[in-house]
Amino acid sequence: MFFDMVSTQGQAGGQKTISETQARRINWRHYVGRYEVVMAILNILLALFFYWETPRYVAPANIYTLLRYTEDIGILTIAEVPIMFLGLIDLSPTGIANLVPLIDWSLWQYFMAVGIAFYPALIIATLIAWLLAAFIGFINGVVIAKGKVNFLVATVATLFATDGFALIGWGGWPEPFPGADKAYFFSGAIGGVLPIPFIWAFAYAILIMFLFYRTKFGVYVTAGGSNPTWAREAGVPVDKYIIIAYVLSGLAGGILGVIDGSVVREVSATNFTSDLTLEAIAAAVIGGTLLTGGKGTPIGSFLGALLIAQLLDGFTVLGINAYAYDAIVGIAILVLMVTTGNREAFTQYFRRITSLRMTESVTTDGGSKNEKNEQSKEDKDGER
Amino acid sequence: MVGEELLRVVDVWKSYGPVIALRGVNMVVRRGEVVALLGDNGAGKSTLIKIISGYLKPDRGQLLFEGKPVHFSSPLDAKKLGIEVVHQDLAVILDLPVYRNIFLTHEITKWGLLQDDVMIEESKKALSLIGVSLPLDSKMESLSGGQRQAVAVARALYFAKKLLLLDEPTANLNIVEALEVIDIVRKFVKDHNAGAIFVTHNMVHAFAAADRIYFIDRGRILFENVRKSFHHLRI
Repeated sequence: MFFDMVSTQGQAGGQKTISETQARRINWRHYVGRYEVVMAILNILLALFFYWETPRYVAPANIYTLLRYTEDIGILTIAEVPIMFLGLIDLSPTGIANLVPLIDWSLWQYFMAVGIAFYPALIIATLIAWLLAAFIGFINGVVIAKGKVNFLVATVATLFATDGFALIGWGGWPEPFPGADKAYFFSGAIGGVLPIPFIWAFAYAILIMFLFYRTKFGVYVTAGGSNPTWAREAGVPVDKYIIIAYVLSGLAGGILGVIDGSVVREVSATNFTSDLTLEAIAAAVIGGTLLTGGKGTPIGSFLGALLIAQLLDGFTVLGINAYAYDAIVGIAILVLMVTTGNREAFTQYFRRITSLRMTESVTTDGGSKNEKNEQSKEDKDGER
Repeated sequence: MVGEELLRVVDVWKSYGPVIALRGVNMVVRRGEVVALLGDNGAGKSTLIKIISGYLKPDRGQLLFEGKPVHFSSPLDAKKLGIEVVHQDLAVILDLPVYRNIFLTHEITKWGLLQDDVMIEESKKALSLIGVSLPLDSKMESLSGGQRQAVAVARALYFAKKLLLLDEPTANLNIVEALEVIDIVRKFVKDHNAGAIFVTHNMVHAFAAADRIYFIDRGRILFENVRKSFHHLRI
């Protein structure tokens, strides 16, 4: 026997029960880790705080608003998670969410003009528009994975291009889109509390979580972001999964644009601003998904979107003005990141800058990320 | 017993920009033999392994596998033919659990769903090939360098059907462990009538492991030698 022996499995009889319990334990830990628990507790505490401040916080009308905010941010957050796992970012979803509903609207008008009935025309137009949204995501993915263009440059270009096309093509005027009365399946509300748009977003989140936890998709996006070179050496088709992740993100933008257009009963080139994408990324980071790739949690990130939505909604209910919201969300992100992130390094640094021995160097930086960097440096040296 | 020809490398060239890493390499691996590829740093050993494993494409030249010309567009193509590799950097994913690393690109799925229970059971078998037992559900980053090497070697042994490529598999190991890996590889090759290429810059390991040695220097094979002429040197 060589290597350091770390024996975990029992050898004796009852082997099957041992492996079964082990498997169950793995599954449990697989879904719920530190970040999920922290996010759940923070959400509950925040809800209790707002409820304590004003009981109106749990009124049906406000629950509806809260879930609408969660939908807006959450669908983009969950779409960013696989991309962030790959160590990338998508800044283009709001551009797609502006352009795609307008195309949907035009197709719908065209189909009705050629004699197709109201609902079939709307559904066919929407499906075509969503295919287009996925295709814009596909272009993003191909440009980044195959064209080796930096992901920020590529997705910002797509953001401007889609916003620009929407403004050129439709002039920035709002076009009337069927609302909850005509298109209940987009923007209705069940019992006045549960918005259908939230169900769309939640279903999309479940889809991505399912892909992430139960299929190769999750394994390969983790591998691709953890160390792209090693993943490629091991035969992981990293480029393909980058493209898939961007397709899912583009589609999320398309779905968001259409259902929110239905909520406000009009689609226009200025329905969304890129603030929403930034909020979604912030929510994903707060929820525990790192920007550096390979680490994170879809469930925690979706709970992060709920947290941001609660802040937004709670401040509105309390009557705090909108500018204060931005400032407080910014500070909240900083505080959360410092308290849930590498606290030790932070306090070390704080101690160092407040101590008189300024010249003493701090040597505690051992973390896997750093180690990985060292190894990939070795990797480059050893390439030949 | 050395059997029929498994892999033939014919006049393979590879350059990285102005640097020529391989200048017309020819080599042969037969069934049932371990071939050592011995050379100094920068001699082109890893480049050759990466070409045979499908990670890099040669600029010129050809690979013949079981007599037929093959063109690998990705490592998956090589894996399909039963070629497995232990890369110098191990190519393990630190953010994935041990069993996911063992089954990386060989995932067992049913209707597209990962079969974690099956993979965990099979991972135990894979690790038992080299006589280790590791916590299968902990992340790779919690393992030591030697344990990571163990995972990389175990998964290659477990999935290699025909050809095993080992790029400095003994780099992170002490002398005893290194000789044990060499014994495991030799036993595997003889038992499965497979072939293996054992890359090292350590002459003692090369002599201990190989039936035949290719000495590579600055992208050229300088000479090849068969075991019986140096086996008296074996430690």
